[in-house]
Amino acid sequence: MAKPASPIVDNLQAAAVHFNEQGVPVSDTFDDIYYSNDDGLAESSYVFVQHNGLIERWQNLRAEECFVIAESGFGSGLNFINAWAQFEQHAPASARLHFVSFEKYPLTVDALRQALSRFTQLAQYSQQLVAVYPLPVAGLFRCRLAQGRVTLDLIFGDLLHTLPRWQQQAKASVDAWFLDGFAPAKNPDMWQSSLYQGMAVSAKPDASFATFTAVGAVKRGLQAAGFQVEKVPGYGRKREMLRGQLSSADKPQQKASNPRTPAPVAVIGAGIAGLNTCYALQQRGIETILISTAVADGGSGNRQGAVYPQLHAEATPLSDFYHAAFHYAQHWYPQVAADHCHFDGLLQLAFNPQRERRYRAVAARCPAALAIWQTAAQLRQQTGLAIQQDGLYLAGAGWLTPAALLSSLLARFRGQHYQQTVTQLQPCGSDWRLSLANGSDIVASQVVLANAHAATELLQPLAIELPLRPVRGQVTLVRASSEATSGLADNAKVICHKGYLTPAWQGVHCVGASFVRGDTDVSIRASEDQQNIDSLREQLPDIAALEVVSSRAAVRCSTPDHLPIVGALTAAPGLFTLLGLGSHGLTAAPLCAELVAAALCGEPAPLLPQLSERLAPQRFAAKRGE
Amino acid sequence: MQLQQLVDKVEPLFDEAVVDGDDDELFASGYLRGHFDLVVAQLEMAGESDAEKLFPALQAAVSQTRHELTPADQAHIDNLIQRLQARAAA
Repeated sequence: MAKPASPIVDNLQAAAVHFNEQGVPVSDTFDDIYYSNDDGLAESSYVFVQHNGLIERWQNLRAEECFVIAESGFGSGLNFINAWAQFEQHAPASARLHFVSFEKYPLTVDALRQALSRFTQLAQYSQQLVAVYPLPVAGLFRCRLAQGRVTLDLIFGDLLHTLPRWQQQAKASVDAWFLDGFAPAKNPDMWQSSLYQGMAVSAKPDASFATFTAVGAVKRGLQAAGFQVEKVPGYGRKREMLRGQLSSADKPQQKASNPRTPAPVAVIGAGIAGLNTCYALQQRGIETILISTAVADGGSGNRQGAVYPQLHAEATPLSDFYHAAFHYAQHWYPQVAADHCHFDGLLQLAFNPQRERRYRAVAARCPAALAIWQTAAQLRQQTGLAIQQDGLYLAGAGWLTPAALLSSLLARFRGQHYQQTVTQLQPCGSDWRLSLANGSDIVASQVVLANAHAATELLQPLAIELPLRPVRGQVTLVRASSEATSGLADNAKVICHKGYLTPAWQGVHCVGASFVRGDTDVSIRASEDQQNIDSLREQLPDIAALEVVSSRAAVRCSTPDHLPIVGALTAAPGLFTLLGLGSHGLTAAPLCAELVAAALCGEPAPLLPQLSERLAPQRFAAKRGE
Repeated sequence: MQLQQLVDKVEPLFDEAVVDGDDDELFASGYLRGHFDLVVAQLEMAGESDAEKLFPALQAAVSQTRHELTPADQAHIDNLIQRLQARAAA
């Protein structure tokens, strides 16, 4: 369906390709090759690396500096892995590469693997790319590679729609543009003035560009957008190509100043939100201090937690956000806590007719690798349990142990950790003063509030009100009386219904969770254990007798529109929030932490603006005063 | 009726609209659901618990972004709002 004017992105067509006799992928849509028949790799190096002057520029990067490349037409990813390989060779070890690439017709992962297989010298890079490559669904998907040294943002969708949005928040952030894609004669739609304008808006004042083509219309378009354009000899049999830079590069100007100030950034809260934020900031070389009353004392302290996207049957902001966040979390957690991730599948039972309709529609819309519809019989086979409902099956989802994850993140945190409660937050010049319960003060340049509903009290004196709603939840830990014979011991998949049942870990399952709006009490209630077990038994009447081992109650921090509150507080410059993760913090937090870190560092964001605006704290104030 | 009660009452319609619907209805449902969630959040923030405010606010939000939509899509959205209102009145 074509909805060019709609703000919501559509599902995509995967690229139609075949491989020619030389093994080079050829687009059926554009009747053009993905890379040169002769030597695609050498051409990529010549056109894009050499003519953007990248090797010298990379050698001159400061420690921890981030170099941003943007590209039109990701294609087979050859330019990306080539740039990555050469960056590793020439840039300082602490410098980072951020590569943003637009693609309207993504290759499937199998075609991508095949297309890159002939470049054996880059095999280690191709393999890592293939492992994190997203499904062909419209949107921005962030991929973390090389232990976070390399970030790849893949933006699937029509560049003529995605670039104008992306450039708004990526203003003056790109160091080099790779203007690639199928030849102008074969793909005239892409080579438009809005592309050149987007390149100029997103480019730093001293940014460069290079492109394989020398077509007159392209040259004039780039010049009209403000680039100085030079014709140079093309690669191989191509006579000419274009390279150049923004015209403003001539004018005297200061080197873009480092946006960081000497005082460190303070993160309040050591749950999944705070520790992910610490990691994301530290990765960017930002001095960070962590202040928390305790570690994982709130919702992050459960024994097991599920990681899966909430999917709607339509492209809603919530569904799009969770798909993007899930993609990131699914690949990020194994990088920091591989032994503690059990992404062996999760099922969502269709426990009423509304859910059945929704899940069937979700399955119809989503790629099978994300979610499929399965009958009760198939689910029984998957789990070995006497499931009576059909449902949705998410093969890549699963569970992890939050405590192990958080200790792994805490162990990697090299900044100061104050185990203190923050009692007050006050502006102090352009910095912030944090008063601690022990009477001491800390000054921070910026503050990230990652302390769930406790943020309300800190924001109130600043006249900032956010709709953070506490929702009590109690989880019941159980052991099956006949674990071995009940089949429970062999099931590796999380079962979600109104509540959920985790696979056994050390012989104990989590059965969750109660849901009491507005209740911040965390004492254990026998009645809620009973509710949890009754609700499970409704779905699995034949389940073995369950013995309650212990229980844990905590308070979720939810929001009225079920999306977290993430970003800069415009009313209080220097304050950022990562709050309101509700029941889905494990899935949402890693990408939200990237969003906060990007905002704080002026880097391209991991979400397109139509989604980051829906997470922004000021969304609730949008209609006020009208 | 309280706002939250009304929300609970009409929300399932979004999922239902999806199932019998074609691509256009799927689009309308997703588009409107985004507006709906945000309008509810904004009303709650403004301390509004009066359910009467929901549909006028939703209409206002949608009309602000009407220029993004083709006339055909506008019609699908309007139709869905009417169905939500009918559900609310039921």
